[in-house]
Amino acid sequence: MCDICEKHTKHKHVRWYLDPDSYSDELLKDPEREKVVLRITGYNLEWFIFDTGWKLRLLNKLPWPLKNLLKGYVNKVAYKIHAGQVVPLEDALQIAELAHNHVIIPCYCRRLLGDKEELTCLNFGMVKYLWPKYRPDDRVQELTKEEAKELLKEWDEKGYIHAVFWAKTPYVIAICNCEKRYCTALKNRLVYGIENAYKKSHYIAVVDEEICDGCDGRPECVMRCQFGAIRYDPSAKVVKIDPYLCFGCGLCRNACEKGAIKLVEREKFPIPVGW
Amino acid sequence: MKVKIDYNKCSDPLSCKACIRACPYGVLCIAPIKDPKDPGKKPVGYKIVPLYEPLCNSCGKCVEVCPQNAINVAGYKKIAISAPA
Repeated sequence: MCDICEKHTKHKHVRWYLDPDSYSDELLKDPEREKVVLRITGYNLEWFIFDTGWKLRLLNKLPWPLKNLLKGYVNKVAYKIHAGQVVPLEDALQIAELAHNHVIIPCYCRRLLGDKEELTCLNFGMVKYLWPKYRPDDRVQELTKEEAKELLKEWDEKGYIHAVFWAKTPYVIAICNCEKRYCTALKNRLVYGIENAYKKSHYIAVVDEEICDGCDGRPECVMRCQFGAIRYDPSAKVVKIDPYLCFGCGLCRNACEKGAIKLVEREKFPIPVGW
Repeated sequence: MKVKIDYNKCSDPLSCKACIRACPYGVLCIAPIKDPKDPGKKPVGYKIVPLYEPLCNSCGKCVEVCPQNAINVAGYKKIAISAPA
């Protein structure tokens, strides 16, 4: 179990996003959480994305003792505000099963960093009422549970990474379906070192080298990995996964027609690669 | 400051956004000018900022595509490539 499961939920043996208590509207009675939800609603979300990245850009230019101190602080408060953890498709489908009030809204990271309008941000709970109220100009589509699950499978085929986002852990507010080019949370981690902005999943990918044959020199799994964790070894004719770079999103596993890649539990993985 | 934008030349980013589409790494971002505080209130304006500047490797695609020549990237020079005779 990751540290969110251990520190921020009552039941420590269940993943925090599979614990039904993480979806309860009781959690919305916390005034601090209500403030967080409003901070990422409507036009405030544009400011949240810009302000977080801009402050981190300035933090990055400080001398290293001060920089490390402030990074540690930002890492701690990430759990009190809004950040995410990668989940593979089967966990994302279970989250869609547990949640209610499914609705899709435009992805703001794609809009601000790529000038793209795509309804790939799957939200739950209060968002269904907040979004039409504060941004009536945004396209909002209500979905049934089954429609949401179908969309998640479609996005998985396209190669979008699923990540479950919180509004002050452990309240589950959304499943993001993004890519490295646009995702600001992932960039806050990779570029500015804030690990708790985008945590790795509870899984890690491993290749069975007896099944893998390198797909004739054109392995599709290598194209799927947005984190650069998997590469092709031409002399050995197999692919290799770097466990320190793998986020456990499972997109490579879906691309492998031979079933050579499997997701194993990160906790039980022999190398301490971290989250 | 690796990426410098002249805001006198880039006056209406929302109508253009060419640099944002051109950047292969996602360095540039459209940012609201003031903190709205009210989730329903539109910001007074927007501007282009290099939000993830460490990702920039001076490829210069944003410089080439800007119709107002408003972006300047350190380490990038426009070189005219002449075809072989």
